[in-house]
Amino acid sequence: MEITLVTEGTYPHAYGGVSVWCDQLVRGMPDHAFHVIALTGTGAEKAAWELPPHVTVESVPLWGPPAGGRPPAGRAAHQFERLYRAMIELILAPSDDEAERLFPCVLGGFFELAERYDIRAALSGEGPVRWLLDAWSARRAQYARMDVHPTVHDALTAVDLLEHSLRPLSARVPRGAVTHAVSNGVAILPGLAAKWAYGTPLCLTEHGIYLRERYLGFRRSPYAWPVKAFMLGFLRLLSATGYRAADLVTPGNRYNQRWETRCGARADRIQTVYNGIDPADFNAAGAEPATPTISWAGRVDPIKDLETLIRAFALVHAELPDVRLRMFGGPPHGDTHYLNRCQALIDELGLTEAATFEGRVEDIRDAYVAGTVVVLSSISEGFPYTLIEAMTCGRATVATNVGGVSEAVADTGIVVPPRDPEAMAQACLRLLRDDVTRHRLGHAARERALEYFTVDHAVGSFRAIYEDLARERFPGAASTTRTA
Amino acid sequence: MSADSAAFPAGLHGLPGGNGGRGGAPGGPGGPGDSGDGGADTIEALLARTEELRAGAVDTLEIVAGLEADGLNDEGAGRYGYADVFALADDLYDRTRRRPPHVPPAANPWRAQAWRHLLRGLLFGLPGLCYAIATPVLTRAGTGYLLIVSLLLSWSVSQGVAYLAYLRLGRGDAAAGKRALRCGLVAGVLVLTPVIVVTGGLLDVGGKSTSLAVGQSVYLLAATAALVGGAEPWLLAALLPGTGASVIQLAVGGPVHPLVWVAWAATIAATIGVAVVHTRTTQGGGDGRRAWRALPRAGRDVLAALPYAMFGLLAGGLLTFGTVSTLLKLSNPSRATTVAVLALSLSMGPAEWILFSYRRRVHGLLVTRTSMARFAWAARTVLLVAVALYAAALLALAAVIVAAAAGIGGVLDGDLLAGMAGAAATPWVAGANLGLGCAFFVALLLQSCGRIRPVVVACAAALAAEAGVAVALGPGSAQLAVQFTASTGLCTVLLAYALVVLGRATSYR
Repeated sequence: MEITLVTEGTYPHAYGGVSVWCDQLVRGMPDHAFHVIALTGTGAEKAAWELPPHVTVESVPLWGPPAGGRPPAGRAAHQFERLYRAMIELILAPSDDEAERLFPCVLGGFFELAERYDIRAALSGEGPVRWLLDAWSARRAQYARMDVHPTVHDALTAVDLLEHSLRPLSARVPRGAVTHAVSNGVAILPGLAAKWAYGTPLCLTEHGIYLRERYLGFRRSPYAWPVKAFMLGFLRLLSATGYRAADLVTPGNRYNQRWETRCGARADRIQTVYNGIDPADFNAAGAEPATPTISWAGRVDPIKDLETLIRAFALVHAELPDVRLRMFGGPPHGDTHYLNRCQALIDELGLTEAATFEGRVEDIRDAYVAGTVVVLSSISEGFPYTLIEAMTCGRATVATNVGGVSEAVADTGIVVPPRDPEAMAQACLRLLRDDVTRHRLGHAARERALEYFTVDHAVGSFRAIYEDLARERFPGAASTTRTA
Repeated sequence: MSADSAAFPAGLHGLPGGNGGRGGAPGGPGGPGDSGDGGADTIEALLARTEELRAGAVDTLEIVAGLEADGLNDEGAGRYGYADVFALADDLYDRTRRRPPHVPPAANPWRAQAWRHLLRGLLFGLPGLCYAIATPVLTRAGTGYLLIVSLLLSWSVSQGVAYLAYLRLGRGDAAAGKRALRCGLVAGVLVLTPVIVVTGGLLDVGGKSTSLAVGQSVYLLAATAALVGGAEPWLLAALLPGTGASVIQLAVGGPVHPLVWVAWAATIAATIGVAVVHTRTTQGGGDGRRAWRALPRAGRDVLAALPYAMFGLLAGGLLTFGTVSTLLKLSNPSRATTVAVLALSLSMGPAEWILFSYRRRVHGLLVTRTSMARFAWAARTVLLVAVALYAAALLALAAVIVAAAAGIGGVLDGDLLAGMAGAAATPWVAGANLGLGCAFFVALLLQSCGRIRPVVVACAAALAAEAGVAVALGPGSAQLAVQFTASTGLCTVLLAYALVVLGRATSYR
């Protein structure tokens, strides 16, 4: 079977969780041929992964040099303008009842034009800038009430971002048995193209929620509000199109289904497929450390909320002075701001001896082995590898109730509210004081992880999904969204 | 009222404690919300905490994303009496008056460094001193041709290489930019030197003239690498021996002392040194396989650089047309040509400066104007002002040169403005070169805005027409009028084109 795998900024050009997952997936199915459409930045990225012989890669750069083909002319140019203006209206009011239903028609219209013309030239032309300014100007009163005054520069920026985002729509897609998009958003475009051109079934996997991450990303971006609103409106409608067009949506945890159904995915077309790890890398940890220890592993980043962990540990330490806290991992990209802040908090709480940053470890398993209890204190997670790795090692865990954490742990650990040092401390104390419960939970955690969260389990799920999709067990709902 | 909130009628009075039906979590010993700073759980506290998020949110989903990233889940929303985070966010969004925080615009990327631009002008003009002392050699027609061939080829290669380097620097790849400069220098020298030597042989100009032509070519190629590499002060230092010796020679007068040529050779060697040092990369050139894979991209880049090389060739052709015309005995030599060419060379410094201030002003318009029409008109006004400023700068430079030449007139052996063509020729020559200078300046603006092809076409047409008419007319005083018409015509066409396309926002990506 030929599978078209669409990635954005991950496999095979980058390291990270999603790339690991892609590598496991393709290596797990050497009997299928995988054609990876990798959406990249400039196209000059080097491959970070060695490709098995049954995998080929085509890079589609979003930021490479512009195309030099024939832009739509005559009637096609008018059609392009109508489509673009219609798209602007939808994007500027993405919450309107009809927006999610009409947007796929506009995209379909662009796809049809792209089959005959180089629409990238038209998308980067002067027309779109003018049309967007027209649309903004028609909403001048509404924006003025918000003290927002969109400028020519805003329009130029927004139009450029959109042009880059729509480039995958013009990419040549092979005729495969199944298209598998590894995220929503722009990675869905080649899948839509294959669906419209050949009727290829589409599987959409989400590890996080693409749209949620874009909302957060744009909050940190330097773009003016009109640009942010325009791009997020576009991405919201694009994601909704992905959810509606996909024959199957496979989130990495059930918690993410909330966003998916909210944005248009049909509940009966969602199947959760959990990430897995290779159990051979995480043998049972065996004897607990001589000194009772709370261990933590991950990136030293504010999203991990180590301050809550440290405050919780202070409460534990007050009750059980022998207990130590060991935190394994380094700061991301060498940014030590947060690490320093946490160290200052440790010193301020008088825990300098008891709570330590251990830096990166060669084998992450050592971090779990080092703990009597393993803790995860994050304020936001998808389906954290740290947790299922610790579980596979057979350690009892205390984790914050975010994302897919409670699904991963179920009743084999203690789940506490995020940002709640008191609750976290109580949970740790309970496990540290009760050897029987701790050992029972540790065993149960390992059993649960081996049953549900292995690579083999995940790969097996997708093998079945590919076969079902290819046999049209999930009749495509959105296969006829092209405009007349 | 948005459609979103209609889908979640629970709103403010939603189900308390809704937990989305997610089971399996035994829950912590401490009940949620009864610990720590319980006061933080009131809706008022939440409103205060999320003020910035709510005021800048584009829709309710942004609030959901912000709340979830902050650790609030459906359970947490339940504590405020909502079914889930979505219901809470819907209500927060509806309660809020949108007031996005003002994002300070990014710094204007077109900050000019006056000293650098003016220094560059000086660097373009100083080598001209070499021709002043080489006059006895230059008067031979063959040598003149050879120098012009060398100049055109070197300019052409330099423009192409400079574009390639800027292209890579623009991609944030400084190492690739430096490699392009270094490879361009080596390849340029290796290719052009034999061509110049063979041409010299064919023209039978002798070793001295050929050496001069090769030296000129090598200097231009190396100076380009140094200028793009940002080594202006070093290039000035490299020029000191040659220019210093020339000034002394001019002051002393008499036959050219052999040491002057040694000094110029030292200048060329130093320029190569500066170029080599400033294009040094810390990392190696990469392994062969990577270089091989990068070939198609490199090919595309070279193809993209071709119009720039063409422009170098055509600009050289237009600039040296008057000289070629006198060498062909189509027109009489005019000293005004010397002044004009020198003024044009020096004016490229102010031209770059004015270009930067033009781009800076237009960027200011982009970030303040809210309508396309108003932007277009303002941008066109700024364009006309820039061209006027450049023309004034060019005239001022010419005036300074004339005054300076008059001051040391005795030394220069005769009135600079007199010449065989006589004073009557001066207005034509001055007008032609003013037109040419403005045309080059507008071409520079258009190039900086990515409009190179039309510029090349217009320059090629002007040069072809000029040459065709000149040859058809034959020797005579009408030649100067032809040059004048071609230059001012080119300037008018380019300016008209610029007034159209530089009023578009997409010209300023």
